[in-house]
Amino acid sequence: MEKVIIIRFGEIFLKGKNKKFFENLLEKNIKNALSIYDCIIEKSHNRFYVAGYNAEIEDSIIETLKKVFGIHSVSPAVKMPTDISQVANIICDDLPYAKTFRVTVKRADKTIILTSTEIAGQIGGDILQLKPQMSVDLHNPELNINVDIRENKTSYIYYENIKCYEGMPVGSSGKGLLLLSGGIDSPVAGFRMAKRGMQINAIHFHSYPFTSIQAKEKVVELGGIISNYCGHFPLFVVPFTKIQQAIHQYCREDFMITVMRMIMVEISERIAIKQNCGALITGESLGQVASQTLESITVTNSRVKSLPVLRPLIDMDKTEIIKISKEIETFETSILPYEDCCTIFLPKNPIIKPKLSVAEAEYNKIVGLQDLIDDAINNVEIIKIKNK
Amino acid sequence: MIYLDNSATTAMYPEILDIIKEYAVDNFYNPSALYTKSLGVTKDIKRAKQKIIDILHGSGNIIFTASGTEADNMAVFGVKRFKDCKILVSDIEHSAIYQSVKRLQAQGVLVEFVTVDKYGIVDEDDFISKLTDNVALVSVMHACNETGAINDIERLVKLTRQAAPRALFHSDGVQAVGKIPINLTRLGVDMYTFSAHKFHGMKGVGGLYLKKCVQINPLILGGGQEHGLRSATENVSGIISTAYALNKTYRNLNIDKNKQIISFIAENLQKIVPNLILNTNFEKSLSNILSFAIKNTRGEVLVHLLEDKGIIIGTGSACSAQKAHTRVPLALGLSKEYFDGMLRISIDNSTTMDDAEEFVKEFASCYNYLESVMSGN
Repeated sequence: MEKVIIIRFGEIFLKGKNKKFFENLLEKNIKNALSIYDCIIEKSHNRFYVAGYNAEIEDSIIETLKKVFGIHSVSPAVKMPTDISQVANIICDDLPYAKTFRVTVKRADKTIILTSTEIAGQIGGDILQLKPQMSVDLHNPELNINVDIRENKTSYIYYENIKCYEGMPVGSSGKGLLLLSGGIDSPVAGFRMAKRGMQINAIHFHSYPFTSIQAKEKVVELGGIISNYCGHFPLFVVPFTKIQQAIHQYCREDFMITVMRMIMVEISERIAIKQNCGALITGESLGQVASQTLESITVTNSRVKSLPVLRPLIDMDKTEIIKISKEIETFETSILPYEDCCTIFLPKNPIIKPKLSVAEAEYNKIVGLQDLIDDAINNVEIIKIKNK
Repeated sequence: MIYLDNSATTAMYPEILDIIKEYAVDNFYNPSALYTKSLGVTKDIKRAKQKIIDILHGSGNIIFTASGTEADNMAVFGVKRFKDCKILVSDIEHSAIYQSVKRLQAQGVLVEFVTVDKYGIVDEDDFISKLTDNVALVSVMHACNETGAINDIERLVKLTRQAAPRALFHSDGVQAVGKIPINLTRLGVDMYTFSAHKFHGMKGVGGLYLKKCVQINPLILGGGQEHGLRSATENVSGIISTAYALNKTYRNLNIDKNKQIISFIAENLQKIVPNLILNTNFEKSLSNILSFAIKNTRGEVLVHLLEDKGIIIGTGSACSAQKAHTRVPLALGLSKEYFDGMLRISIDNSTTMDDAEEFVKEFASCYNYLESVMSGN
């Protein structure tokens, strides 16, 4: 008998000819995620198993697996050579406390003559003999004892099926550059695209000394939390102070944010192309703030020439975004008070419905902008973000 | 580097490392044990306590805690309350007091806040008007951590004794200790808080002085150390080094020199910045603190610019790092345009006039740079 964790596939289960590609990628991602533990990964038909680990770290391994996209569910299980008469003996000592139970059998091994129901009856009978205080309840049991009899003369017994995020293995859907601020939304946007298999790189605009070192540290911290889901990635920190000052100097106050965002996406696209990213990812949610109205999005979008801009939160309410941010544990860091844009550069009344022509005119007012942009790109700081 | 944020914390005297080693490695015994070595440690603790009490001219006991914040909490939550009693605190108490009384308020205890003037000194008329005979606790800070304002604790205690004889008087002396001579007996307070790291001692050591016969309830229960008022194995090196640090700080204290430096800085800042408000009243203030506010300016940006030039100063509590905390500038009556521009210089015995001159020079260049950015030139 051996303790193992069963890993079931999500959507890739449905893939056709290129299923192998997805499986291999998922295996690689699982191995990376579990590289901090002493354990092995075994591959089987439509499943993986984690084995060879110390029982004490089982919960930690499961927590880590829950963050790997492409996994449908996991179950801590007991692995034994198939022997129906021994199941009750093997599990009875460590059976979770319950007054009622049922046995559910899946029999892939068709060389066994008994039907699943008959096997369940036999195991249930054995358990009742060993645990006479328990009783059977087929409809509403406190404990469901699953016995999975596989074709290779091996059986797995487990009691719970822990749901995971599903999605696609990270790396299966290209690479995107996430515009990561210190706020609540952008980390969630990164999480959502990673869930669809996108490999994440991130970019952050830093305006020291007008914002603090802590503001940057906060973004690094958020990156660390996201990397628990999408693996390690580079964070490109763009020195943005001179551009901020130039916007402040040359542009109409109500257009300052509009122009700032135009430049941000422009720089992002240039870095994205350099890093072979196939898309930009933003945390924009329609109408949430002045810079996220349809008109504002139209203006910022106009600066992106060749890449798609993915906005996974576009239809979501703030409360929905906060809910996910709490679930993925970025919320507490996101609400730390360090701002990512200094109030000096924030207009009192930002334009809500900017006209593209006016925005472009304001953008064009900035003397020497292309040099400033080149300078910012040439001085990008690259921080390696690793799992927390 | 020129460090001008000594009200936030001070550098520990390096020789304290020897004290730490002595009581953590060589003479590490638990003071509560029964062997002779432990008794030696107990005696050392007693001596250290007595030394602190002597330096502060007290007549009572000191309960050591892990911080000034803990000592403040102990004073607020430890006081025995009676039916329909009231707690009276000043408007600009440190968060350790403010948040504690807010908790009691949420639990239904009546709490009243006494207003302060624009420098942070308690308004005596307002104090008297709120001082009814059902007051169970008064807490007024001795010196304000923001502005350096020194409250006339002796007088406030006398007023309290007359109008509210059942009340205990607590004063948070975290900023005052080591900066001005303290005579706890003359002040007449029942409880008084201090924190070692503000006078070059270790972080993680605070204390609550209790006047003789003053009784409060403990917050932490356990083995009954500190007369049952603060259970936990004593932080021996912390306690002994606190006595050392306090003694040395008072020996080195040169109030006149500090005053000269602070006045020099204040005069020059007023020349550099046209819309400068001084929150510090030099007549009634610690000699080492200067608080000022600049209109429509981000103090935080100046902090970063100065840091890049090797000078460290502090922001007021309204800095962006604690956006919700506009309590103190509001209490000082500052208008909104000044909230973000609150800055604090706090020097210590080692600060020289050369440091001050260097600071003034660099401040001028940083301020002028920021001004040019803000005006878009």
